[in-house]
Amino acid sequence: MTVSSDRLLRRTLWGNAAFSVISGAALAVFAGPFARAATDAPVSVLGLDLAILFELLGVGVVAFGALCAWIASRPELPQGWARFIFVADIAWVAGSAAVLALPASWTTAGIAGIVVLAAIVADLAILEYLGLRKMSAAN
Amino acid sequence: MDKLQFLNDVKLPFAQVLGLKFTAASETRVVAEMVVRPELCTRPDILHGGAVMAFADTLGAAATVLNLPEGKGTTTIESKTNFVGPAPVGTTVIGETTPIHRGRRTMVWTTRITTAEGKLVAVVTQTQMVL
Repeated sequence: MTVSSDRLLRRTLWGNAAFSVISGAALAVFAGPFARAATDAPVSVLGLDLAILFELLGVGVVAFGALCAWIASRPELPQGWARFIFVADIAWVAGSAAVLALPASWTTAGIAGIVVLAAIVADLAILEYLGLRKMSAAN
Repeated sequence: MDKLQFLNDVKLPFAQVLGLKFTAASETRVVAEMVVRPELCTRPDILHGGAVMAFADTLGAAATVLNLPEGKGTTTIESKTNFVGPAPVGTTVIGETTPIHRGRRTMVWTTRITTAEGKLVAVVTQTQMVL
């Protein structure tokens, strides 16, 4: 019989939850200042001002963090949901690269912010991948 | 949490199918019992060999879990069974698992399965890898 450990995945999901809730809340609360610091000129996407976009994104990230916490708190960790979180993190990193490629007038602070967030999310995705692999390798 | 309560609270789906119930648990001894239901039998109505092995395998793995460092898992990498006698339908079999070797990388356990009357049914020796 096989009994696999979910400690790495569970801890990573808790870390993802904490990081997402804190960074999402900060993004939503300070959306205006962040938007001004990130670009030299006003930017709008699909008619939405960048500050509004940051606010919506922040709320979404907080909800994502809550989902991570819910998954990590289950007595039996749902691997399907954990895979969804992993895929979402990969999508965030890919999205960050795409955003930087857009013809927008990002400031150095804006680029740094996007890159640092993407790097942290990429680290979380790697840990989630290792945690998922550790769980499934034993089956 | 009490070790016996821990083993009985952890929902192992296949152990539930077997109807396995742990009755004693420590780092060096795990005991469980199982009623020989008709669906666990071969023809004639005696406990199927696969059910005997599954019963013992679950005990050996459970005993390993009680000895694992935090964050580690385990998997069975070897198992050997001597079938000694039958366990008729309706009887209760009792499995007692004790260690032969408890190492950092592997643990070896032997499980004696008897009927409630003490008649030997099988002896299983298995090796668990620590993951």
